[in-house]
Amino acid sequence: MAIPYLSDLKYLIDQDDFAVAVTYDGGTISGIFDNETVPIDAGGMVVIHQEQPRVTIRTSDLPSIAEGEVMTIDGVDYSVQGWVHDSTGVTEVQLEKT
Amino acid sequence: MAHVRKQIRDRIASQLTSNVSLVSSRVYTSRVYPLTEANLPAITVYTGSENSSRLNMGVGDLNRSLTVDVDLYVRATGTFDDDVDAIAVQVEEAIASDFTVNGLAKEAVLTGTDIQFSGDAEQPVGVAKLTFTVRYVTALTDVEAAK
Repeated sequence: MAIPYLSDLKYLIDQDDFAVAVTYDGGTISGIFDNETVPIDAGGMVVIHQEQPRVTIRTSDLPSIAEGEVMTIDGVDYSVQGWVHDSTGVTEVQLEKT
Repeated sequence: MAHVRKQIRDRIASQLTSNVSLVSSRVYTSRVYPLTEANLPAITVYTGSENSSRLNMGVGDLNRSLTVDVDLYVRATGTFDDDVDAIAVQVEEAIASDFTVNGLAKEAVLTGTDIQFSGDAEQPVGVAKLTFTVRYVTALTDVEAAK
């Protein structure tokens, strides 16, 4: 019996739970926003602590995602820099604060 | 007085603080703790390895070759590579204009540059490591005064 995972995603990524509103491509979708502070080692003697914004969204909500598109979350504009489709219907989007 | 090595490190940091306007006086010596957005752009100064040898047989002087690493940190959208090079201009010219490190050294010469970038966080980060080789001389018995 197939696991009804895709149909469950809309409940997993739901603004009533952990997701937030993401303004994108003229509309609003839901995504789980993660913005933890991470150490960035770019070769200097010390690391730089920076926030690392990522948002997890249903792949079906991003049919034509492209680099440089803008997503607005909690009033902050981010540009899309990369994304990973995990092949189960979920996409993690790497964001850059503009 | 302190070891000439410390005097050189402090003098270079002072020279950079006064002359590298692009980092707004954010020059740190021997910093070991992370930098944050509030600290950037910034420069860190470290004295690393040092080789030394007798200047001449029968002479009680030590010829020293000290590595000074000047790291430049930039965080910016779009212009991070240009910003790194702009700060490098000010750093190189500031140290070149103080070639003898205020008389503490025989010379201070840029001997290496290594630039790296990272796009792992909310804005790109650029780091340039400028390595200067500083040659100075002390007496074997007095390392607090340059000769």
